[in-house]
Amino acid sequence: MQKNRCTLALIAQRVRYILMVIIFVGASMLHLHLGVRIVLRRSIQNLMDLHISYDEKMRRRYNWCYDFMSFIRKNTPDDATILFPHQFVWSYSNGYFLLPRRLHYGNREILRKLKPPVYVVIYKEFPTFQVEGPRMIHDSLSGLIHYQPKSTGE
Amino acid sequence: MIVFILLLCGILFLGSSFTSLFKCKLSWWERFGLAYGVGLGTLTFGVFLLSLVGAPFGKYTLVFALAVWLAVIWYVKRKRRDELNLRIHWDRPSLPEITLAGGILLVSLASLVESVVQPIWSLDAVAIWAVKGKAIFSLGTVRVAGNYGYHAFYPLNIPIAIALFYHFGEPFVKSIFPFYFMAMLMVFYGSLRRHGCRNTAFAGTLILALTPLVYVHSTIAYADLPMAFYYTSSVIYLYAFFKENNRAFLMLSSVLVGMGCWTRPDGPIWLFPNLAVLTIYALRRKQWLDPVLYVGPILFFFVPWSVFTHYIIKAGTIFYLDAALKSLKQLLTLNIETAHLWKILCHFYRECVALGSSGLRWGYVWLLFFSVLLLYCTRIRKYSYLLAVIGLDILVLFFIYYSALLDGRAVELRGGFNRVVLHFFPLVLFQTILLISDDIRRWRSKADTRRSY
Repeated sequence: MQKNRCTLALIAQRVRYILMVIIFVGASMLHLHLGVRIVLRRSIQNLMDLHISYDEKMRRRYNWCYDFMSFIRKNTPDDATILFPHQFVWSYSNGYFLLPRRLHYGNREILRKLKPPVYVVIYKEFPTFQVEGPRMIHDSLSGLIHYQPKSTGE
Repeated sequence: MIVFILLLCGILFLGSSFTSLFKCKLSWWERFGLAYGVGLGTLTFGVFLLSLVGAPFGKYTLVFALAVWLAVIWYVKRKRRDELNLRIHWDRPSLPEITLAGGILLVSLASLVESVVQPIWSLDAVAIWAVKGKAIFSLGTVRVAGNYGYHAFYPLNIPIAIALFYHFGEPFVKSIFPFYFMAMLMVFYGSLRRHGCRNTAFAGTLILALTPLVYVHSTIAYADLPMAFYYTSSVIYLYAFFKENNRAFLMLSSVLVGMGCWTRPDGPIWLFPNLAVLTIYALRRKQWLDPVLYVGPILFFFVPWSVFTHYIIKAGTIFYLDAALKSLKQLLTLNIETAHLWKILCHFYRECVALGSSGLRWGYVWLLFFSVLLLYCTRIRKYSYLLAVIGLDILVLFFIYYSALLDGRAVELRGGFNRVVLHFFPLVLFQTILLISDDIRRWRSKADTRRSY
């Protein structure tokens, strides 16, 4: 009786060994296959992107926004103050492209509080109030107004 | 480039000095991996503390923070008459080990290359982490970080690290994350090596390195991988404490959870499983002081940031807190919405068993874990504490998913909330390898006996 029980335990142990080997090897192979595919695909993409400029890569992701940010960067000094519309679509990330420029969001009241010169962003219908100053046009939707009231001594 | 390497050496030196304060037996791999994570975490925390007393962000503050930390560490070491131990033990590797190590190295290099070639372009990575880092770097002060991007209450470990790496130009910034990836692999390998044979440890590390979600996160600038590094290491050393009852492991685990809280706002949530299992351990062993000791270093990292966000910059309430409280109330009163539970179970099934429909797959690690757990159900008792931590982690994950559904953010199960599972992969793999390593050891000894005949 005891001998039979020992044999049964031994068989159970061997079955477990075999099952463990099948599951471990099988699952590991499938997992590694999945991982290798991703690593290879991304590495090939990286090799293809080696000659592409930073601007081009960013443009791929941010499209119009990146072009507009580059336009603002090109036309404003590093210490410029810029006024964006209150709910500008890219308000959370535009600081990444425009810092160290000081960015503000709002309307005429905010503009009055800012010390000129201020660059007011043209975006769709914004600004809805009158802003004097030379205009720099980016496209039909967007641009910049260099606001500098005459009273400041321009 | 030379200055960049010097900075890395400084971080590694600070980290290795800090970890050498804990008198526990760590392999060279573990020390090296921990040195990066702990070094960077302590340095950014030091910069943050200095900013609270008005210090601007810059090279001098960095050097000052590094010097102050080293002075404190060396003072403690001198008091305890310790010495810095960085001896390298290296056995001659076999051919399979060299092949596996080569595979791991290639994956790590691929991740590093991608971080240099591709700029930070993920929307959330820019709006939560990178913009804050750039603000700190460009405006020269840590306090302004909350004004940029969203979620001002998110801790600043990663933004300060980004600002630190910005000194060397844009391509270096993203390298923070592949280094965290390598550090995680090193700690994982070292701790597996402590409990099992070298081949299994290498194979386990390779499986972890090739987990799609983990690999992808080492190439994008999200804080989830650093968080996974800190939390995984903390659980691994908590397990080492349960096994060896050496309080140095407990304190190391606590410091790592503390740094997790300093990395992501969900750090305190993941503290709960560790603390619950530790309390059970302490009650069973009548070591009442352990849970109290465990909380100390966590509070050291957590309280200054909480005070700063609530009282100094007034960052507002955490956006998911309302949903979390609502779902907790529902769970406590057993007023559970079964439709939500069903949705979560379906999500689990899709990602673990049917391998998901999303681009960032979970891979086969979970399937492996549950199958091995079923096969070795008789050995569960031996690893009860570690399994309890993993079990509670899964419960917390359910809770997070449930809260997200209550908050009407079902779509985030595949997106934002999919990232929450990142630390499960190393933990689940660690447990799987531990379960099967007993059998492997038995086979090897049997084979050796036969060979000797």
